[in-house]
Amino acid sequence: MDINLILSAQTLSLAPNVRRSELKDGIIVLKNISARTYLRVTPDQWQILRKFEKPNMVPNMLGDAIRDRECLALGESYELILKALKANILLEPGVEPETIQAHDWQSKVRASVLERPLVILFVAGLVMALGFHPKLPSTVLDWTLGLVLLCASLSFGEFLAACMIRDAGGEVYRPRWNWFALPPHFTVDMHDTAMLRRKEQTMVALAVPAVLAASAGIAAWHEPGLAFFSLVGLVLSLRPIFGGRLAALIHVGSKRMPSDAEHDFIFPPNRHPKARVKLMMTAITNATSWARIGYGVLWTLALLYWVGRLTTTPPWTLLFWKQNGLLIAIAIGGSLALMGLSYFLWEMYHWSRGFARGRRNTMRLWKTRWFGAGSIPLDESSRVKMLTASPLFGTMPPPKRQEFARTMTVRRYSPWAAIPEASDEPTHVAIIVSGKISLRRKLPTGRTVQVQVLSEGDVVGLHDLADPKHPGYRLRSLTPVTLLMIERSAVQALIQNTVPQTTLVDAILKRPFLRRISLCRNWHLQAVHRFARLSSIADYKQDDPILSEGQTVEDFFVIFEGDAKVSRDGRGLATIYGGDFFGEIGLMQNSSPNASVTAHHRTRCLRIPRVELLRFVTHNYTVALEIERVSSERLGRPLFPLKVGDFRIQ
Amino acid sequence: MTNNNNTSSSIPEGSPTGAAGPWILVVDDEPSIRRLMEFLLRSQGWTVLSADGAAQAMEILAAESTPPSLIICDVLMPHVDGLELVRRMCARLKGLNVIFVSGHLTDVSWWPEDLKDHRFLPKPFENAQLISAVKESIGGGNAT
Repeated sequence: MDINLILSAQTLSLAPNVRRSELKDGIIVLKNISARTYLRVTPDQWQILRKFEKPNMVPNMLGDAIRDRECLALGESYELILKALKANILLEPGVEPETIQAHDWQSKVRASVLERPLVILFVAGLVMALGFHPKLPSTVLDWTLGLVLLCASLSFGEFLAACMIRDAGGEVYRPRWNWFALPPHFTVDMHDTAMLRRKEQTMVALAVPAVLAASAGIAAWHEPGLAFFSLVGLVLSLRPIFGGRLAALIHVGSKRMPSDAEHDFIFPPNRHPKARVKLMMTAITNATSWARIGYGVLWTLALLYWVGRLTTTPPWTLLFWKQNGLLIAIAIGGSLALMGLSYFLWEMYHWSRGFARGRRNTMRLWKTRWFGAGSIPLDESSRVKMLTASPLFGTMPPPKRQEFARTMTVRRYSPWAAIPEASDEPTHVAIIVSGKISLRRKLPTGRTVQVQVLSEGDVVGLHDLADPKHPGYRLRSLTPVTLLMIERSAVQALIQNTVPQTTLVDAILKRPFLRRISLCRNWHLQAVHRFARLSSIADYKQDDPILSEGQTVEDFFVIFEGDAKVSRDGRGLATIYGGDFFGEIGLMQNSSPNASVTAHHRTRCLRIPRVELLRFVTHNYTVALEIERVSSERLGRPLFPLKVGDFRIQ
Repeated sequence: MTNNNNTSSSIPEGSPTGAAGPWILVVDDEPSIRRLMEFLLRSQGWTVLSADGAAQAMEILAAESTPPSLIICDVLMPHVDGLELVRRMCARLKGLNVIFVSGHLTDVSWWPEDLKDHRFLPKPFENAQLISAVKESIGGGNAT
């Protein structure tokens, strides 16, 4: 399903048969029992998922979490929802995951009973395998018996593991003789180990290596030609990467293990090079990573030792290094360099693709404005399309749009030219086909200032109707401009009779303004339109308080015109200007503002009530992420999750 | 997951799957709303085939010799949502006329770029709204 739909409109519910493990290394494992799917979450993430115990939508859940001050970082929340849905921990209505039946496994052994024997077998086997001299199989009988020994050891180890899982309360899935395994042996799906306690998990993970170590050790001592395959099996079962079970159990220090929502991201905004670098830095600063690397080094040394024992020139002799030292150094250095280069190229490819995608439209627009305006189709059907797409003309009846399209005239202006037809007392109304126009107003001091920049799709010549308190706009082109003009007398009566004033204000004043401010730059156009519809313009006189420190925040503000002073405890902190916004931190954290904002020069703000803003933000993840990003930058720390002392309770 | 009862109830007699001429495809997982739309459109003289989900809709599309004049498609449906379904249909048949309907997207301010040329009708809608949207989409008048 479309991610947008899931995160904004889809009702989800917690699967009825979810089982929860106990807390291990700061992580809880959730299991959908019938679907045999698992999700590793933190206790905070589990609290978020519990909000779906009754069918709920993501926006409502986020609204509740913000109200209760338990919202996680938004990227993490969205990732969690998507992963939970993928793991069938959250379900869409009417969707039943496929049931996977557990096997009725009757044999049970308590892990505590096997603990000592398994450890002894493992250590003794390992010592014997290291101490005695295994040999490569030289006869067909050695090959055959060696493989049989390996099959038997693997099968017995898996059998013991299954018995321990069952006794610990876990389920055993798909016990079978696996002909496609190398070598074929008895296997069991041990996914349910994730639900067991730490000690039981260790014993289950140790079962196969312990049996293999014992068989390799005994074989190395008694019949060295049979030890080879068991030794290979043992080395592979102890592998530090590619799903090695023992290595995965290593945990050092107090840092918790990462949950499933904190790596291998599937939520597109999380799949960013910065996120990968952050993950890498987290891993580097984690003692567990270094302990696992240490384990990997030990494993490699053991592997080298065994390989050396099987050869005539072992690696601990000088001759070996004289013969192979250079080659080994080249191989290791070359592999590391190749890995680094591949990773760098991969990151560069993704970065440049994203960069090009972001700049493509801007470059195309720039080219059309300066060199390609003549190639834009301006026939009647194209004009109808433009009128239909216009937020103002689009509200008019189709026959009227057709009529306007017929009577429109094309006017072109060179850069930095005045546009008198739509200025001061406009005689024409125009749609900008191509180019940028500066909208300027004369201040009481006599100075003319730019109040807005208008571009493709915006309408000029109606600003006096949309903003009767502040008439007297002047227009000047900033680039080559192409306009489609209509006599104002033909439009004015129709607009006054059929278009509500709010629609006019939205289309003429708010939308063009919002489209260009940093807050809305990455929003979907529909989100900009909706924000314009939800907000209202408020005028403030000089020194009027807009937001007061310590008081309840009921609105979110964007400075539409003029500027405002920010102060804390009576001390001036900054001056903010058109396009700057404030009030969002208090709204998102459900707390009081920690600074006051006072009107300075003829300040006009777009104001959006708290409830509407939260509703708007929670229904649009791009908007929510943008507000979170900007607020975090302003705070100097992440906006979410909240910690004690991060906010002021109102 | 074909629901044969639903299919047969929504297909007029006289052809293997129903439509002999221009026709409208209604896709909605909610039976009451689907039936209501069918009833309303038939009362205006249009030939209507209906499906309870993506799988059945694709079956109908494959069985018909002519493409539908219009598809009215719910957005939120189990398994395959309406957006994905229309993308699949558009990949198979170019120039399809689509009206999306949904009752859950009122507060949502996004729409996929590739589907922006299709209409959207929020639920609940009045009968007249649906009929007028259909007429505008297929160029007015009865399709039969």
